[in-house]
Amino acid sequence: MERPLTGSMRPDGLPLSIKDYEDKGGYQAARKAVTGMSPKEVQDLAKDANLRGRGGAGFNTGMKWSFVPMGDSAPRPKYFVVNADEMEPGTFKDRMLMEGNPHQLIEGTIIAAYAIEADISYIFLRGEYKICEKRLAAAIAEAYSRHYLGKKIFGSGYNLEMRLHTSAGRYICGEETALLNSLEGKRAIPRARPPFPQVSGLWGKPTVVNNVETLCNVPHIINNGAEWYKGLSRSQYGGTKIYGVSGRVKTPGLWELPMGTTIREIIWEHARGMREGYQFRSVIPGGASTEFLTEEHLDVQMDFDSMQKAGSRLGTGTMIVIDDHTCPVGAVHNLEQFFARESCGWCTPCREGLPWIANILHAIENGQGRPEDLEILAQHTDSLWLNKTFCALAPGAMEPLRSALQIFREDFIRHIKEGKCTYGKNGNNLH
Amino acid sequence: MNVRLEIDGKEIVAEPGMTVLEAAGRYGIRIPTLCYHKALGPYGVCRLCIVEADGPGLDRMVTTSCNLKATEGMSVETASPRIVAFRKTILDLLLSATVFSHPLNELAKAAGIRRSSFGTEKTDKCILCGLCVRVCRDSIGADALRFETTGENRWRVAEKIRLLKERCIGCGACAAVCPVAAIRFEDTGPARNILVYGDVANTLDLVACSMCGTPYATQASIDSVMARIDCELRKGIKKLCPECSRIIYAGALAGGFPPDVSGPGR
Repeated sequence: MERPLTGSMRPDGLPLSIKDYEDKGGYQAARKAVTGMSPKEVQDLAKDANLRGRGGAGFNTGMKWSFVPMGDSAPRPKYFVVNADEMEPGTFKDRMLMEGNPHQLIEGTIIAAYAIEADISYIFLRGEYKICEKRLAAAIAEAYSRHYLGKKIFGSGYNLEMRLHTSAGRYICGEETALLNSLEGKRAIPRARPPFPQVSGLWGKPTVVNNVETLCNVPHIINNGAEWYKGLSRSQYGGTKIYGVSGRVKTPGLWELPMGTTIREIIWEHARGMREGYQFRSVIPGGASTEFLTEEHLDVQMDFDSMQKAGSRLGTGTMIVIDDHTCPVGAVHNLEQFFARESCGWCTPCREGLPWIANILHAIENGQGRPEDLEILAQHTDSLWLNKTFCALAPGAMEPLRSALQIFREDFIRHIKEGKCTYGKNGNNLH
Repeated sequence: MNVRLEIDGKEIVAEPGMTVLEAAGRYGIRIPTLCYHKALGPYGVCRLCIVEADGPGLDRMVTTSCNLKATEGMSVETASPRIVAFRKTILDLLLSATVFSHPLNELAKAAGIRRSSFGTEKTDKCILCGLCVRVCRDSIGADALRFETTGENRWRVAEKIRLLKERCIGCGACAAVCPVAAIRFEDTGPARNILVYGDVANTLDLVACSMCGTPYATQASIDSVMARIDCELRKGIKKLCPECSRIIYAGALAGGFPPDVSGPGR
């Protein structure tokens, strides 16, 4: 099984130096793209490979690039931003990619920036990722010293600067327009769309924001072509995917597997099943802002369409497993508390609604729930839905709650009827 | 070219670039909103002006009408059952976050809310719509009002509004745009008090009208207006209170132009 993204990483977890990386074929793709291909060709190749954004929304990456105005009349400078602000609960795939092979990300960024003729690129890195920061900074310096960044890279006429920016730390910064506000030194609040960032983004200039994992795929597509890339996958979407499992499984972790691997295979073959004494009950498949799935969905393939059909989303592809000893009400309360805290407070329903949801869940978890609370929660999952709020944070927060109210309805009712949590003190956490 | 659309079953002709909220307003269809002001444009924060829009590529989309451009063939419903239900929830949440204020209570009554479902925590009227912050920063240019958060909520955009004394010019624009009167100003003889959430946040001296001698505006706000006027025009401008300027200019209309500002007072 081919693992283009992680196959060349060192087993000891240390990063590949620029020499190691080049020995394994690194920077060949960037050289090929910048000196031998037109930006349009790079865009088309990404489109042909059916590369989808790995940050959660799953938009076609080549398509996203193609919205940027090109040519001499385009506004300058153009910006390329790497979204490395990985803050989704339960998600840690980008950290592994950046820690293990920072040059892969830099190379992917060079190619993607070239595809939109960007002049300046930023890596917007989560502030807590101190190891990533150190390794990326060192790798960027190495790339500059070999003239892979800066003026006339690879001897071509293309110039690209790269800067590393560490976030001050808010979940909302992962939202592409809030990220741009933050990068401009403003409060991290989402912007109204249109205009889309591809037309008017950072400082009003054309900007593309891509996820780390998405970009790490790009060099391999350039090297091996679209057909090879599509062949890696078990579904219509190209490539491999970094899948992750956390929760009470035997070996939590991350694996690079063909796109479209089933949930069952990931949990039972790669994470080696549930720990002794724990039964599988449910799973949040793609980070905290996706809907719970249950046993009946275990054979669903983890790709964009199949997950949607099953009533959830692929999201970041890193799942949190809920076992039979974990109180689902407590788990949902934990998640909603996170979202309520991370709401930027910009629009009314999110700012006022999420804290109330967290309050109600807190009451139910502690045995003070009222029968009508379930009705109020259900009503909120509807009123904080897409387009009713300014951005996608609150709708994302409602996804686990909405599905929990159906799947774990009996648990909610029991909490209210018995006036206490029946899972004991271990039930409150997600470990 | 003008755009034809339908709002609540009514045929509407909108100018190009107009939003659904503006187009509806022109035909007397009232969509409730708290964070929209025509001097400042759409903001999309209070979410009350939400509507259901159908048409090519819209698929009964639920979205705010303040930033939704009117397009040919669009069909909009401003009070479908799900819109009404959503608005009720928003009003319920706003009520639970504020103390009694006029427009909010009337809107809530109209939506059929007798009592907030969530109990009240806050002690002020502010709905954090941001109009005062925007008018001060974008229209006046003083940038004296800020969103502020403290302690546990410090990551939020806003918990309350704070006035920076040293930047405030006392123009009163914030009080003029505030939909719930959380910011007000009071002129007490020669001084103006700016009240944020009922507390005096700033006090500025008022300048006397050159005709009647009534204190009427702060020096800083006059300077700010003057700085925006062409220097030729600036010479002819006299410092007049609203009442005196009304008399002078009404007289000018009757008796010719330019107005005689040096004439006798009341």
